[in-house]
Amino acid sequence: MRYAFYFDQTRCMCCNACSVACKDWNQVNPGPVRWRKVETHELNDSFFPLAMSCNHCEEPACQAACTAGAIEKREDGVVYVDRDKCQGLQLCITACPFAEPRIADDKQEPDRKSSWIIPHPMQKCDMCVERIDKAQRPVCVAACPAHALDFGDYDLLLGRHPGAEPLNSTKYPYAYANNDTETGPSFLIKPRNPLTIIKAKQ
Amino acid sequence: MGGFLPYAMDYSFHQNSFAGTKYTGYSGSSPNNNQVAGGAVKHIVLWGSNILSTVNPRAYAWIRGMEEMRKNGGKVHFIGPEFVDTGVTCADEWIQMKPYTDLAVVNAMLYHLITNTFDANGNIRTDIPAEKRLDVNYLDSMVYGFFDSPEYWLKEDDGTIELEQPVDTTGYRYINAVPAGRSWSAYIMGSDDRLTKAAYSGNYMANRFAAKQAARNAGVCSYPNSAGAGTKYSRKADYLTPKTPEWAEKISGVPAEKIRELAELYADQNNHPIYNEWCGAQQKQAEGVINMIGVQSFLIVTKTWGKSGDAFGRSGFAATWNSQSGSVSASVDRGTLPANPAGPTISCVAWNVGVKFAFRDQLKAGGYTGKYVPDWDWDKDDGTERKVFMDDGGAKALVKWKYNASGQLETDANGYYVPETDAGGNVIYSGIRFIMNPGGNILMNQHMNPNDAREMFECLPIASANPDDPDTLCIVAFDNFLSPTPRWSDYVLPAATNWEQEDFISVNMGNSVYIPVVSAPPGQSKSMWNFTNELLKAYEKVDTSKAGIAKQFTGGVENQQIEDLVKKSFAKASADSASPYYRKTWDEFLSNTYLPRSAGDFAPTTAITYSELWNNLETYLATAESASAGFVSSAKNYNSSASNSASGSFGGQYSTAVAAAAPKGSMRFHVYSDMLVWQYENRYEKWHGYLPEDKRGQASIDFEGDPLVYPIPMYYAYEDYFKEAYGVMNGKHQLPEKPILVTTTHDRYRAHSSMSENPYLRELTHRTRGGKLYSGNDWNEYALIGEGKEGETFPRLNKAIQENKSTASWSEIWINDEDAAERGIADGDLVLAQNPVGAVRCVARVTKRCVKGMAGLHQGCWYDPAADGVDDGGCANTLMASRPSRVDHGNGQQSAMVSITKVN
Repeated sequence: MRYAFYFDQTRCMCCNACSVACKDWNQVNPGPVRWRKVETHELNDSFFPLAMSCNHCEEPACQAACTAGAIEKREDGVVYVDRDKCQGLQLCITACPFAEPRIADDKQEPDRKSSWIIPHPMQKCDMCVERIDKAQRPVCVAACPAHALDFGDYDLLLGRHPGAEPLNSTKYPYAYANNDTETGPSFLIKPRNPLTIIKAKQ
Repeated sequence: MGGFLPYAMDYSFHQNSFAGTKYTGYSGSSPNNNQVAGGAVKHIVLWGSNILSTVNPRAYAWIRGMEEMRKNGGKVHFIGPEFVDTGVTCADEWIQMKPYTDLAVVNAMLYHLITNTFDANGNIRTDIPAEKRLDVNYLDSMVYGFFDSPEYWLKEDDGTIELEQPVDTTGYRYINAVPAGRSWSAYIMGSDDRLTKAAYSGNYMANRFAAKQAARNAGVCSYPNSAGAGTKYSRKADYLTPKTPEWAEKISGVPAEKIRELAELYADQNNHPIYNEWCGAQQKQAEGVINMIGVQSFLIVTKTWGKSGDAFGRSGFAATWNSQSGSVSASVDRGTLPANPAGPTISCVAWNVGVKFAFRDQLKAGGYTGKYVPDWDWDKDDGTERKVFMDDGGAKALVKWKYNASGQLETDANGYYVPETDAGGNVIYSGIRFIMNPGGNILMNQHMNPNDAREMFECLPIASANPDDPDTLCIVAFDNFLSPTPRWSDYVLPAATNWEQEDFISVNMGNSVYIPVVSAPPGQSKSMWNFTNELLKAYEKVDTSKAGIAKQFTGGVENQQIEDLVKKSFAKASADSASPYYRKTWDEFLSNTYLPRSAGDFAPTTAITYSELWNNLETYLATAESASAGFVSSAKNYNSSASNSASGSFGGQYSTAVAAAAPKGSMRFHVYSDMLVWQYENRYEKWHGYLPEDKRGQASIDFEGDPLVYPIPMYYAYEDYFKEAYGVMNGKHQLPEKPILVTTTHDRYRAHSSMSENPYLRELTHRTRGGKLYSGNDWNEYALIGEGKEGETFPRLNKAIQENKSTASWSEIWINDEDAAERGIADGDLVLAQNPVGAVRCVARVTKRCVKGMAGLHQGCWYDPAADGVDDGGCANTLMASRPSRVDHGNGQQSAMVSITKVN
């Protein structure tokens, strides 16, 4: 079992429903930290929607970098952070190719939990473990009106979605905000169709 | 109660609703999703379409439809200045076009097809394959005004025509001439005289016309230009220019070669059906009506109609399914309600001018300057003549009218309505004096030019001290958002939110759905239903003649609620064995009010069907060259749409003499509409008997004395509108330096403007200096209203900006990367966008998704002027001039020209 996300670049309309539903469900206040982020990337005269969260990698660079042992990977593939253990070293942030680990500020996270060592431990997507453990889909997937997001076992997703391919830094460099370390992201993607732009003459 | 002032059109689709298809008779047929998915549509051309954002419930149906269409070899073309999300998701091709230049491209496409069809001597070419040419027999037989034509009498039953008036005109209709050089093709060809050379012949109509007019066109383009070479209007200077693809390339940016390719795409029937999608922005422009009529006319000329799927629609294809019986409805039997007093119906956007019309004296006394309306010479009003800026669109029909004993409007001997006068014999200018605004942000924010609205409201006496005084403007807001409109209202009454009131709503692509109350409305806030009910109860106490009206409103049962009505309907459905709700309980119904669907409803189809008109016409055209009469369809189904009726609620009332002179529809498609001009010039004429004769109807005169409105879809150069609206024509201002054209696309994040201050949504489009996405108006930070102590200043919406916090954020404005570089603007910089009407501060988003020369300030942000007068709220309308859109006197709120500079 390897839980993964599937993202259909031909269907995403960048509506941000996933991103807002995530904040709402996971009680992340308004502010710069968001666990799933939607962007339309501009590359080589084309435009590529991408809804990215933690990719729950097979070899999580964040986990390897964390000397506090705050990051763990479950049997089913979910990578999660035990916020009580986070010491704020921020090694995970530079290690993750996708810059997914996030730190809030006082405004976005005004209430500090007594069990935390530091005011704002790292946070990120946990694949909605509380939902998936009850056989519900992660809230971002459930919220997507374009059916551009899917969730399930990596191999089953590959079979279910013709044209899906593993995320990689050659074809999707814009996904790799930090570095292009190969970490085995559990993220399948169907690429956008080619676009022809007839440029305006000046 | 006392009655209300009816209005025509709406803020979303003023221009398209106005245009409809009545001026052209266009008869396309939009496909449904199954036809798109099955391959019955070959091309989709998105004219700037933003449908995935604006009609979210249909988004998935669209995406899936196009996905399947592509598998069948179909192609999606996007033409427009801003590559909106719909383009990013759906398009195979983006043809970049500068804003407001659609009709330059359309005219040039036809230039190409005309020169493909006729050689330099006007003879039909044989060196070009027929599928790259226009169908000349079709144009002669079925399209009025593409070529010049003499006046004639058309026999309605057999299609024969007489060039001289028959002795007995029974059964004939008189059709106006299309004068020499005034047809659409004459305009397109400019000084190119090929169409004036070869003989008018080849089919019945052409052969008949030839007796009075030798060639298809009787002259080269002859539209008037009084100022000659000195004209300030680019449009007039271009009348004699052939509208070549190279001409359009300079204006629109679309490469000439692409214009030719597109033209041939449409001309070739093998490429059809071609579904065309218009967008809100294409029509919500200064020249929006002409845009709509122009594209329709182009589709008529290229025979892009008649096959299912050949159409010009908006959210045109949607999932369809068979309607089911046994559904649940909510209907109220209110019996006979008191009739609204007869009166004029004005444009919905004319309320603003209606207020100025009512309170002209109070505005003068209050120090109103009109400085935000530069094309209006309010400052020169010496009081000798009552002048109100652009008082057409219905405003000057708003005087107090005389009614006879049976409540009918009185008319005089000439058929004019009769106004009431005061003791001194003066007409009473009622205008608009009271506005009930239940849940809306139009007055201050969603109408163009909030700076002018603010000046107007602030110069008028405050009504709340004495709401019954007719010399004060009283605005009552009933709302749950303290948007700018309630902020400038006299009374603000609390409304329940959607979740605090029940409703019965029509779901896009679904059955109607009952929504129960989720949580009780707090405090004194009320549902719309109960607000109305209680207002009527209060009114019964004031006007005892209206006793019982509140009970009538709730359906004859005191305080009856929507739930009671739905329950009645549900009881019937649950007892009906054919209903999907058979034997269901009310609680089961509430748990899922959607009707189940069957898979068969979604079967893709490859079948193309042809309209009866198309079939009849093709039969006629097969023998057109030897036909002994013009084309008359036995179905006559084109007659109603192209009939050019002189009636209509939007000021379609004319005195007897004027109405008699109205042009008649030709029983064919019109690409030349004399009715468009006639209606423009005479609209509301019957209400204008109190005015001198030359002031009746609507003013149709530009700054050089030429007409404002013309019968053909010519290209009205966009800079001309800005020269008018910004006071260049009357010498007050210059156009902005290094001009950039602004459009105001709807993004998803504000639901028009309601959700403008929802932090979860605001943070998707607002950025701090430096470019970080940030709501900036978080909890307890925006629009904090004090305790209402005397002397307390009105708080700014954007407190974080006012207090200069690092978290302060502004709306994004999208700027092309090359434009940004030329102006020294980097992504994330704070910028100022300004023109003679207003100025806004925004944070630049530098992107290739705008064409060079265009910026996108997405609509719906709340107006929030700073001390320096600049709008920090980023309301796009702050940049929109008051000058209404041509022809329909609507809101051209996608038209602005600005300069953009970096704020250091």
